[in-house]
Amino acid sequence: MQNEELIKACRNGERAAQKRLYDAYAPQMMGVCYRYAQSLQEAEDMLQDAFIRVFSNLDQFRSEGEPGAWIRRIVVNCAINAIRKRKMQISAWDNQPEELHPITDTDPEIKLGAKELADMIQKLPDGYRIVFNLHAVEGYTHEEIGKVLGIKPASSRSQYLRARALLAKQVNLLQQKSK
Amino acid sequence: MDNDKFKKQSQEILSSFTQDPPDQVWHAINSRLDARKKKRRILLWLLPLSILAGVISIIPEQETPKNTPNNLQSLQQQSAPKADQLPAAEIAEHASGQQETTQLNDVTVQNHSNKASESYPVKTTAGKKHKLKEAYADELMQSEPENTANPIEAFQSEELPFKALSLVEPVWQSDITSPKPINRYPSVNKDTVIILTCVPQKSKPGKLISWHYSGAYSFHGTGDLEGMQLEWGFSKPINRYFAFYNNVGVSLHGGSVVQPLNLNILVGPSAALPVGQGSVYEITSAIQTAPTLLGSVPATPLRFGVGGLVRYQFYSGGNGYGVQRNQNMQTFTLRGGNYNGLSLGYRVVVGLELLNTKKNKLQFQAGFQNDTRGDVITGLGLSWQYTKQ
Repeated sequence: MQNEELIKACRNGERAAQKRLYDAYAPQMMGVCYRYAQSLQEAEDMLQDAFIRVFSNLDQFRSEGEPGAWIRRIVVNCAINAIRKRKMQISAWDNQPEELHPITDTDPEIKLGAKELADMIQKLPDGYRIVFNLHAVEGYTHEEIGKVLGIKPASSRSQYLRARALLAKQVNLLQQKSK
Repeated sequence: MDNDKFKKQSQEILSSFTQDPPDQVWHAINSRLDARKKKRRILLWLLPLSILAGVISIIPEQETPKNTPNNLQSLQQQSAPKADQLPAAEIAEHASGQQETTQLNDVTVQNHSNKASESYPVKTTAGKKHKLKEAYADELMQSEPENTANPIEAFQSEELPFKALSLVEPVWQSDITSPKPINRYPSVNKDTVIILTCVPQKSKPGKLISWHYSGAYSFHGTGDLEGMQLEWGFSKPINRYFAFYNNVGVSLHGGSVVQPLNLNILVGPSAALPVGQGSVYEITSAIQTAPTLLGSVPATPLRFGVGGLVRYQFYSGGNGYGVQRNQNMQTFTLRGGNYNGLSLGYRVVVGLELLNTKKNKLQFQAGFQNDTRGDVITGLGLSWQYTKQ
């Protein structure tokens, strides 16, 4: 079944087609959720909410596009919403002390597997994790991140740099251990 | 390594990162999609029902025009010819202004020719003799006695000798103490005959108590528990648009909080160890009273009610534990707590009147209530109101 036909069947509420779409994209999207979530369970919740939203809003999807990118956008939005629901004070990032995780210029070359790196990202503090994912992985600019999260672009930049510094430190430690 | 290289490297590594979600995620999505479908189906039923209700409430008005003050103007425009359309002899005769005295019975007929006095002859009180400045109505009564018993019927059968006529809704005899009925509708011309059907004070419904019987299909909580609510009560009108409604009701809701997937039930707060498999069936029952202010939107079949709530609830698990579905919809936490007991809250009801006769009223209604225990109950049902005349 072609993508267009699959999407059409999903729009008609055919459960078999929805399962096929889910099977096709769930592992990739679970990877996205995993990076944003604090735990595996939270990632599963995010994925669940995201696919419910996908199936409910398929009418808005333009058939000529690739469903993967559209679904990924929904997954990222759901992840951000889920984090917001935890009543995390995103605005408080603007006032974080500089010395918490000092920004460094030393970035080791990453010689880790995807799962190891994702695990590391998952262990980052909320603010670092979200900004790192949005900027480094999804390619959002700091201005866009500022708009999405309601923080200053400078805060987003600062969060990213601290996240990178913390990741670099952990990558170094892990790589030294493995040697 | 510069920033761009770091990002690029991260992107490359993570682009290949996938993780297989457990099957439970799909099962949960499946269940939620089913639930949404069910809700949509209910809404789809509600839509034609609402349309049907609207049609039902309109049809009687079309078959037997209700000559309410609201449509008086249009009625007049449709039926009242100008004075110059009346036979000249009649106009001259009625313009002579003969004054006659007529006993005000259950029916009062008032008449104005185009040259009538500026003061309208409706200033009267119940039981007193009423002076008509025009002889038109009196003449009508004398010449056609069969019509005097019910001028409305005469009007509808077009047996009246004049056509410049408007009809207003029955007026309580005690209310005719001022020219309000006319002053309120300035479009009523002097050459319009107004027939006021007066109803004796003793039968005025403002004093009557109505009995209410309601039943609703309802949901408790997030929709896991389905059931019904029954309610009995009485209402007493406060004024034309509001009434106070007191009642007592019972509710019974039940449902399996675990979808039929034989999932593990995890025990909080650690929620780490599976302790069993199967489903848990919860039942809540309650008795409650909700003193409510009922209101109606003028000239529409829409009704509403807002009130307080006192509720005593019984939970099948007693006070020992409750089952709470976790956010992932797949695991559940058994938690201790006090689930039986008294709570206070509020209730909002909106309704659509399907039937409105002298004695009976039938209303389709939707209700929402919330209380201090956090119990939310929504319901859809019918309410029958009976007023003994």
